[in-house]
Amino acid sequence: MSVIQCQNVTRSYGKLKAIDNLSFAIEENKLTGLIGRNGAGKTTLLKLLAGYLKPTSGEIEVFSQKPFNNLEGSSKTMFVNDTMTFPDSFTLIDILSEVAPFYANWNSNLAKGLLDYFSINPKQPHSKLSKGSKSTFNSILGIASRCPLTIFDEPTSGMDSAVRKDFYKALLKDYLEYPRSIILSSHLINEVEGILEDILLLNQGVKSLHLPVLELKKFAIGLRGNAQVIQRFVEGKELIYQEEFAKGYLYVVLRSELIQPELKLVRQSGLDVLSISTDDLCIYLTAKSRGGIDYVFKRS
Amino acid sequence: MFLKEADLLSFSFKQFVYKLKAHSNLLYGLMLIQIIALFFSIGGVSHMSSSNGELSVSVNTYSASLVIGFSFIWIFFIGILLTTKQYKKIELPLVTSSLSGNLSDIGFLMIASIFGSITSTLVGVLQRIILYISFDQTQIIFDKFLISFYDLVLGIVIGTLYMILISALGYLIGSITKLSMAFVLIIPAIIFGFLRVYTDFFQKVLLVYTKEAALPLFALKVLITVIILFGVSSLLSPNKEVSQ
Amino acid sequence: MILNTDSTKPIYIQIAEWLEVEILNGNFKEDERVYSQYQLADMFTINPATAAKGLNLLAEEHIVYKRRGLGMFVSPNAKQAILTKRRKQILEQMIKELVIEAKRLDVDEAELIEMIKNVRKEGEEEQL
Repeated sequence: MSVIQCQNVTRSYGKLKAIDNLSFAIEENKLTGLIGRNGAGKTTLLKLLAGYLKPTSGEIEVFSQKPFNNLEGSSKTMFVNDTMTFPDSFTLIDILSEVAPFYANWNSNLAKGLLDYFSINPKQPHSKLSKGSKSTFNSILGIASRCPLTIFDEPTSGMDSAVRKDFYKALLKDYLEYPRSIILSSHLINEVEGILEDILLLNQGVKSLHLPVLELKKFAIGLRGNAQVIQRFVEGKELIYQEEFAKGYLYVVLRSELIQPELKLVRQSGLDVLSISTDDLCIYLTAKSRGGIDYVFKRS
Repeated sequence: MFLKEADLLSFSFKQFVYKLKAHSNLLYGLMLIQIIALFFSIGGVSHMSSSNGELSVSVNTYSASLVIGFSFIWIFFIGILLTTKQYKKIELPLVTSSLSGNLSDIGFLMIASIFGSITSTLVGVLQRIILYISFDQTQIIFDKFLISFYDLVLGIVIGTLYMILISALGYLIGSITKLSMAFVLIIPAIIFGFLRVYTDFFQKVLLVYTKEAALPLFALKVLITVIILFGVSSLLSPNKEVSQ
Repeated sequence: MILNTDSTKPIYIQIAEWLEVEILNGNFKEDERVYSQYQLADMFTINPATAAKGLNLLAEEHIVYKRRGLGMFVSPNAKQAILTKRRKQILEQMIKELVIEAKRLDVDEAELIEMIKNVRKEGEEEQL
């Protein structure tokens, strides 16, 4: 069953299309990573899913309903982001008990346990928290709410690396115990890819790919070696990335399926065949100009 | 459908409770304002003295109307305040829709109105006690000095109705200005403009609410007006996106 | 154990290899139940789908077998299967690379064999 269905969704801010004709579906109880560079449209997409924004065109369905201004949708969705605001008259521990009645699956012990574990003083108001502690606290709400759809928008920003690791562990543990649909946005894929099942890669408002992480590893392949030899193999094929790393030597990345049949021949020609880390693949796929930073220096 | 309506009411009520706890400081603020108003009015609202050479008469008039006036201004601003971004933002981490947000705001304004009316009436009683203690009793003209319990309750009920009416007006103005900040300038301009041009009409409208002697009829008038004001406010918001 | 996420070796293969080592070390006996995908996911902080793929890899190689509703169990002769596979895969791959590198360095076959013998001898002497 699909929890989220997006059909040709576009969302514009004036002339800028933050989300451009996006279509995808997310299955129930999957842990999906929304990956993209800064400004790729991640937050806009998440706000559309959470019902904060309306699409300019296209159809969004969350739990088979339009999420915008939808009370039922809101009761099944938790949207964790860094703009969450709580009244100053509440301390953190107050917030935990006051928010609890809204969410049917709320796990109060878990919330208090996590607050205690991350040693955040429960007797202070939310607005007094540092950026890292605020992210941690908001993430605790996200985990404890156990909403059928839980959305985290860059949850770890400001957290130190120890807390990040603990957060991912806590999230995964609770997900195993209580499976639900989770979307996690991040621009740091290598940090999250381990716990993800699917990846949705967004590039300037357009879907780059939507794949299980396990297939992403095999998605692309790199060839390295003599430029002329490489040219012979990749002639007419679409390249994801290419770089001239030394004079006469080329490094190219392309979809595995394009070169798979000739792979043996490629190896025999003395070219290095390299697997591509997910992190690098995402960088290549979302690069603004093929050729990377070197290209800028070569031109100037 | 029944389930959905029950959900709406149940989540609106939860939000109302949440807001009541969150905004309790606003209610304390009112009490502070009332005490300030009390100190102002202890000096007397008007002073009159005359003398014919042999006899000199000096009359001080005391009234709690300043306290009530301050409370009216307070509830008006609370009505506006609840529609501001700052106050609407706290709904976001909760289960909410624009309608449930409005309903919980309305609930809060009603409780605030009841609270405001009760406290301002009690402050009026407090004022009388202070006067009674601080003056020689023979100097007090007992015109409406002692109030019966019935009058006290009646005063609270009428005060509440007025405050709800004013809060609904504030809430509507707040909701309109949320559509566009331009209304911050336009609304006062329109109000003052109309006041000058259609002074008679406004006076008549005002009389509808101020010169109604029968309580049930007055209550009905207020109720209908309030429903219209809150209704229009609610209709203005459902298409607003969340701006953060 | 900490998984090497930077490695180009996929995590599910690392999981499968770790389980193989557990079996080789005798931590799991024949017909004993191995960790479930959820236990593995919890232990290594990985997605259960990834853990399942690691387990399925072992099932395909008949190192473990599935009992419906009960989980994965160590196959009889699992140890032998792992040893055979590793000999075939890992050793062969290493030898292939060795031969290519030797060719690049102009080391002929006899020389290469001599070098291997020497390394083996040194290894035995160290053990004594």
